[in-house]
Amino acid sequence: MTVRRLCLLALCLVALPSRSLPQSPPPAPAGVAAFDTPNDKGESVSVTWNPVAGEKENSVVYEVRISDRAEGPFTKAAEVKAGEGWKDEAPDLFWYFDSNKGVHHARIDPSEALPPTEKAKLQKVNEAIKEAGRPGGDASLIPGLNQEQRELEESIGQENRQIRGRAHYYQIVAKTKDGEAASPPVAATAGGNYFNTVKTPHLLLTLFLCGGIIGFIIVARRGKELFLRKIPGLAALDEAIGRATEMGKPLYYLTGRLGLSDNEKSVSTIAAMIVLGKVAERVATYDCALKVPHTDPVVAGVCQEMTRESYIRAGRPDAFKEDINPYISTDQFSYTAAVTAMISREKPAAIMYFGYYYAESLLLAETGNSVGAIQVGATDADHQLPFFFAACDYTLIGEELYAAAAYVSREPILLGTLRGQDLGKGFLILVAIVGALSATAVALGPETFGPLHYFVDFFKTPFAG
Amino acid sequence: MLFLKRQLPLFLTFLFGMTVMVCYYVPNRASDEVSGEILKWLEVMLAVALILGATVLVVVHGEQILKQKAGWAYSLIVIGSILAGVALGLWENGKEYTEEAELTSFGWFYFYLYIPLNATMFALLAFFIASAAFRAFRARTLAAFCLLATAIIILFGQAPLGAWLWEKLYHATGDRIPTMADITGFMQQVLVVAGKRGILIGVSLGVIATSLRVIIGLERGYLGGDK
Repeated sequence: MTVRRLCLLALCLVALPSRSLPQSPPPAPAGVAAFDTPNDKGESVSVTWNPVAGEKENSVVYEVRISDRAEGPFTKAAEVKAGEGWKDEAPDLFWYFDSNKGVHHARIDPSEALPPTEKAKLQKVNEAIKEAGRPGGDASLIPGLNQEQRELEESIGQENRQIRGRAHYYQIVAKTKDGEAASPPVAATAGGNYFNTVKTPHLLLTLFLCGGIIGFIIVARRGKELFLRKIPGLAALDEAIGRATEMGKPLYYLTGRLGLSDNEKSVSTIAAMIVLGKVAERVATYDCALKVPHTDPVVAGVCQEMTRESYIRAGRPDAFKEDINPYISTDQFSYTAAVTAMISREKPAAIMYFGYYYAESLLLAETGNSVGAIQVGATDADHQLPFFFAACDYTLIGEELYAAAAYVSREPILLGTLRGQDLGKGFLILVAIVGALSATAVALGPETFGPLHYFVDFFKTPFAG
Repeated sequence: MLFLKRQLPLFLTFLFGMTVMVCYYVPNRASDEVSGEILKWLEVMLAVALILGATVLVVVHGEQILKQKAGWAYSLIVIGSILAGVALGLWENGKEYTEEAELTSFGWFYFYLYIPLNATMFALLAFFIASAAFRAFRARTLAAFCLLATAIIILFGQAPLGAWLWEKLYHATGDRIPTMADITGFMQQVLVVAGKRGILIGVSLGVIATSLRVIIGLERGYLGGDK
C-alpha cells in the first residue's frame, strides 16, 4: 500500500511541472525581407520570411505589422496561418523559380499604416478615382468626382495621399498560444517598375515571331518565290464573284459584328476589311453589284473609302455607288433582322461572311442558304465555326481568314507574313511536343528531371495571359 | 494632302500601336494613365463616329422615302422608330422608370417593343439550328459520320434519359465500362479543347502578323487604298 502511494506521489510530481510551467514562445521568424513588390504598379510591398520550426504542429500564426517609424508603434496589416501564404503561390509576381519554394510571402498595401479613419477616406477616394477611369491619378484633376469625394480627397492631405511612395517599417510576429516573438523591423518603399520581368518569356516569344515575319517579308521583297498551299475556300471567292456576275445578282460581303477597337478580336475586322478591298476590285472588274451592310459606323466609313479606291483601281469609278456600304445598326439583332430581310428580298447570288461573329452567324448563313446563295464563311470565332460549316459552302478556319488577303493579292509582303506565321506555327508545334515530354518527365522523375520544369514554365507564362 | 491622308495616319498608327504595346510591359501608374488616356480618346472618336453613322442612316433612308424607291416603307419604319426613340428619350430624360418605380413611356418603348423584338430574333435561332443540324448530320462522308456519332454521344450523355439508361448499363456490366460522364468529359475536355487550341494558336499568329503589318505600316488597306 505504501509503495502504491509512493508511486502515485512520484507520478504526480512528474506530471505537475509539465502542466503548470509555461511553454516557451516560438522563435522570432528569420530571413525577414521587405521590398517593393516586383511587377506591380507600385501598390504594395512584399514581405517574405522563413517558416519557424514546427509551425504546423504548434499552430503558429504570423502577423505582418507595419509602422511609419522603426521604433513603432506597429499595427497589424495582415495575418498568415501556418502552411499558408507561400511565395511560390504568386508566379505572376515572382515567376516559377525554385528559390520561391518554402518561403512565406505577404503583400501589404502601405496605406495599412494609416489610422483607420484616414485609411477609410483614402480607400473611398481611390475607389472614386478608379470609377472615374483614372487609376492612381490625381483626384483633383478628375471631373468624375462629386463634391463630397473632392472634399474627402482634400482632407486626406498630401502626405497621406502619397503614402505608397514613402518608406515604412515591417516586422513579422510569430504567435502561438504560448507567446509571441517579433523579428527586427525592416524598411521598404512601394514604387512602380519599368519592366514586368515575369513577361520576359512573352516579350522574347513576340520578338521571335515578329522577327520571323519581318525576315520572311524581306526575303519575299527580294523576289524569292514563296510557295503557298491551296486554300479551297479562298479559291472559291472567284467562283462566287463569277456566279454573281453570270446571274446578274448582287454579291453580299459582311465584315463581322465587331468594330475596329471593340476588343482584341477586332483584328479580324481589319483582316475582313483588307479582303474586302481585293474582292471589291474584282467585283468592279466583272461589273457585278456589291453590297456591304455594316454594324459599325467607323467600319462603314472606312470600307466606303476602301471600296471606292478598289473601283478606281479596277478602272471603274463610274460603277461605284454610295449605297454599297449601308450602315444598318450597332445592335446585334436589329442588324441581323435587317440583313436577313435584305437577303430574302434581293436573293444575292453569293454571300461572304468574313470577320468575327456571335449568335447571328447561323441566322444569317441559314437565310443565305435558303435563298440558294453560294456562301463563304471565314471567322476566327471558334464557337461559331460549326454553324458556318453547317450552312456555308466553304469555310475558312481561324488563321485562314488572316491568310486570305495574302492569298487573294499574292503581294510579296503579305506572302512573307504568311511564311512567318508558318514558321511560328512550326516552332509552337515543336514547343508543344517538347513541353509535353518535359512535363511528363518532371512528373515521373522530379529528382532527375526537375529542372525541366523551367522549360514548361517559360512557355506557360505567355499563354497564361 | 498626301501627308494628311497617308503619312500622318501611318505615323499615328505606329506611335499609338507601339505606346500601347510598351505600356503592356511597363507596370507603373504612368503607363496605366497613358493607356487609359488613349482608350478615352478612342471612346470619344467612336461617339463621334456613331453620330456620323446615325446621320448616314437617316440620309440614306430619307432619300429612299423621298424618291419612293423599292422598299421605302421599311425606311419609313426605320426613320419613325429612330425619331420616336430619340423623342421619348429626351422627353423622359433618358429614364426608364419614374421615382415611384413605374415605367416611363421611354421604358415602355424599350421593354415592350425593343426587348421582345430582339428576343424574337434570337428565338428564331432554335429553328435555324434544327435545319442546319439536319443538313450537317447527313453521314455522307467519313468526317460527317464522325460528326454525327460525336453529336449523338454528347446528346445521349446530356439528356437525362440517356444518362439514366447508360447508368443502368454501367451497373449491369459490373462497372466495367466507363461512365457517360467519362466519355462526354473526354470528348469535350480532350478532343474538343485540343482542336480549339490548335485553331486559337493559328488565330493568334494571324493576329500578331496582321497587327505587326498594320503597326509598321506595311498594311495600308484600312486607309482606303494600298498605295
